Amino acid sequence: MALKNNGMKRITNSMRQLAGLCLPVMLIFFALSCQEDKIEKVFDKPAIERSRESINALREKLQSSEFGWKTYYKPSKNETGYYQFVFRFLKDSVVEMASDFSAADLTLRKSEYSVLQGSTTKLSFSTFGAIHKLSDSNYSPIPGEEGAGLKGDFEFLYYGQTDEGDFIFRTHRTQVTVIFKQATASSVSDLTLSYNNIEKLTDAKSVYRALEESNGSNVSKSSFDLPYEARVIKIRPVVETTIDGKMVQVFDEGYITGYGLTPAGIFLDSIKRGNGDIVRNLYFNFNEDEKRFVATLADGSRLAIGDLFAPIIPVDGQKFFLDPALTSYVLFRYKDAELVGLTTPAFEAIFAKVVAIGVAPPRFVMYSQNEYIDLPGTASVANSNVREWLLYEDKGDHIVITRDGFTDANSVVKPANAAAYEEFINLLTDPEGFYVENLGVATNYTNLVFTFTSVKNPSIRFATYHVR
Amino acid sequence: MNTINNTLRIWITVVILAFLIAGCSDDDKVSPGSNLDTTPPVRNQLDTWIYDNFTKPYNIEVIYRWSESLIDQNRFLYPPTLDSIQPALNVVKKLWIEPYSSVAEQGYPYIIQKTAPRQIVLVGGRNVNQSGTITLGLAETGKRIILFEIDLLDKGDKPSIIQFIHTIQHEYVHILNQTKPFDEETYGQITPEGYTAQWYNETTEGSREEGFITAYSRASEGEDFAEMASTMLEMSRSEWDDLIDSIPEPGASKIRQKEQIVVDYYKSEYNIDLYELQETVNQAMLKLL
Repeated sequence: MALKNNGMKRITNSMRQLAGLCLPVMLIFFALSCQEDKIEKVFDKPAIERSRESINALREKLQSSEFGWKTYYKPSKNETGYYQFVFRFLKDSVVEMASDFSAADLTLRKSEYSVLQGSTTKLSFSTFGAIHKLSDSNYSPIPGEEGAGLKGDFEFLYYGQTDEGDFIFRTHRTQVTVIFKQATASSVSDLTLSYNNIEKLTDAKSVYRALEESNGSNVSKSSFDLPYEARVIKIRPVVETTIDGKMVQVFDEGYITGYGLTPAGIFLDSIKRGNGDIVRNLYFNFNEDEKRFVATLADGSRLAIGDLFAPIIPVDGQKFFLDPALTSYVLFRYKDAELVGLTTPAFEAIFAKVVAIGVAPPRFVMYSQNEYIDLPGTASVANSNVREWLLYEDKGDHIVITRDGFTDANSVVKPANAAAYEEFINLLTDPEGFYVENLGVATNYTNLVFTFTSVKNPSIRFATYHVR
Repeated sequence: MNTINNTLRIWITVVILAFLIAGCSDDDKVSPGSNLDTTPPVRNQLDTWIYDNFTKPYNIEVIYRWSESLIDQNRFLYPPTLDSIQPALNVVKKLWIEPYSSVAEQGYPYIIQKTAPRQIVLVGGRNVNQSGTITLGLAETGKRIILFEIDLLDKGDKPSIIQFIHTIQHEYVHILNQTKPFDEETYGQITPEGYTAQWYNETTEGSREEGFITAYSRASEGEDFAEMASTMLEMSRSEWDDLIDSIPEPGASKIRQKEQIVVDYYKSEYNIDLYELQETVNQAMLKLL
């Protein structure tokens, strides 16, 4: 056992000596290996230095373009159209800015900008300029979005440049991609040319407006209107449906698409063609002869947006109006809050003169069965109502009204009031007549609403309450 | 024992050596100097005016350039137009800072330096809430006042100035209250039933008949107190008395009770005669117009 123990002791000592020599060597290798395994350097400069360089680089690039930068900015994907801006970045954080947002923004005005570090390098328009009008809680035209303005942003995160040198930004709050392209010498004056086109779009010469698609003899029409002031168009195609066993044409619920202005016309985000195809980024030029915006598609089809001078779907509300079982009279009320927007300014301007001669309350009634018009107040020679016989003629798709003399001597209009009255009654009895449309129950009242639109001048329309 | 000691010595030497080798490695070089940009910002003419009239004498920083961290990002607001800033700040100085400073000079010297917000943040447009109501100003923890509608101020139009200065006076009353609280419990007992979160559905006339100086007074006791003081400070004392005398009872009496508490608070906490302050602001308004 003793021999065995001595032998074991010698082996243990030898192992201790071996460990005493090997372990230090291993430790040195370990220490050295740790050093060699250092993380490879990704950046050659500290973060703050790189950040400063990025800021300076963007600032220099922004200032480098002689005529500045231009962009089309669509603040909300589904709720607005496009607004155009031109920026000229000067030294000392001054920027000159112009826009086609409004007539007041078409020339360059100075404000301040800054380039700073946010979640990435950020361009911020730091004092008020045209772009801030998109973020004005006091101007919130989008339905149901009180306080949201046009949902615009004026701080842009920098995401680099394209091969063509365009800047890629994303809006800070809403993450909308915005591309800045190099402006040219004409970019600012182009804003005025662009802005001139908004009036051609919004200043309707008719209450009937259509997007018309034609290819040869095939023509399809959709109605369009501007539902709220955020550069959007509502398009409602005509579809066929069966009502009470009869095939009739009605307007589809439709869709909203954004539009932007160009020096030659407008462009739309997208439209749905008659065959169901969707066409995107569609540019229309204004055609002076037709007074419409026109585009030609690759297959030769032609699209036109503008006024029509007759209803897209024929109307026959006069039949209901003239039916003794259905109608007693219709009542027009001047500046009626419920019918605002249906009566056009062109008609209101004419009726305002009638109001001025003593028609009070400011209204008139057209009796369909007794066939006369009654204007209350003091405009007659007897200081009472003016009443005149009318004759109605159903022309199929419109009505023609003719006058047939005052109902009695006391109802004759005073000579001093004759001019205003004659203008009004001559309009109402224009030989070309009126399109009559039954809109159904369209207000908070249970009465049906009927509109009368002048055939001769379809910018003139008045809306009435129907009484059975 | 010797063997163990020798081994231990070798170990210690090797560990030190290993750390020395590792420590001597070619590590990152420390950048020379500071990387922080300490260059003072370039001041334009407006910045200099602000420094001379607000920052230096009253220790108030005025922020007019957009700063995302200071404004609610869920709101659609924008910074003011450069041209509108100095006229608006001049109204602030003439109708708020200078009257308070002069009236409190004896009783509570340096009141503005001691109690005024350290930051005034200016916003150009109107702050419309989703409910359709409008927020004219905000006071945040007594350190910052945010003033909206800077671009909408018409300095030649008294109602426009009154609305603007009402906002500042109102928010400053909040700050005074945050510095030295008023007796909310006693105050709240005067018209305990009239406070409502739907204050915006109430009319001014109806509110006065119930003992509230404005409809917004009905929001809470704190807002009521601030509305009382700020409404008093937008007219002369005789105009104030005429106004209260025209209100049917019991509204007038209740407003008079509130007035007494407000006046006592100013005197006891800040040694300010509120009626004297009212007249000073009124005179300054007449000069400004």
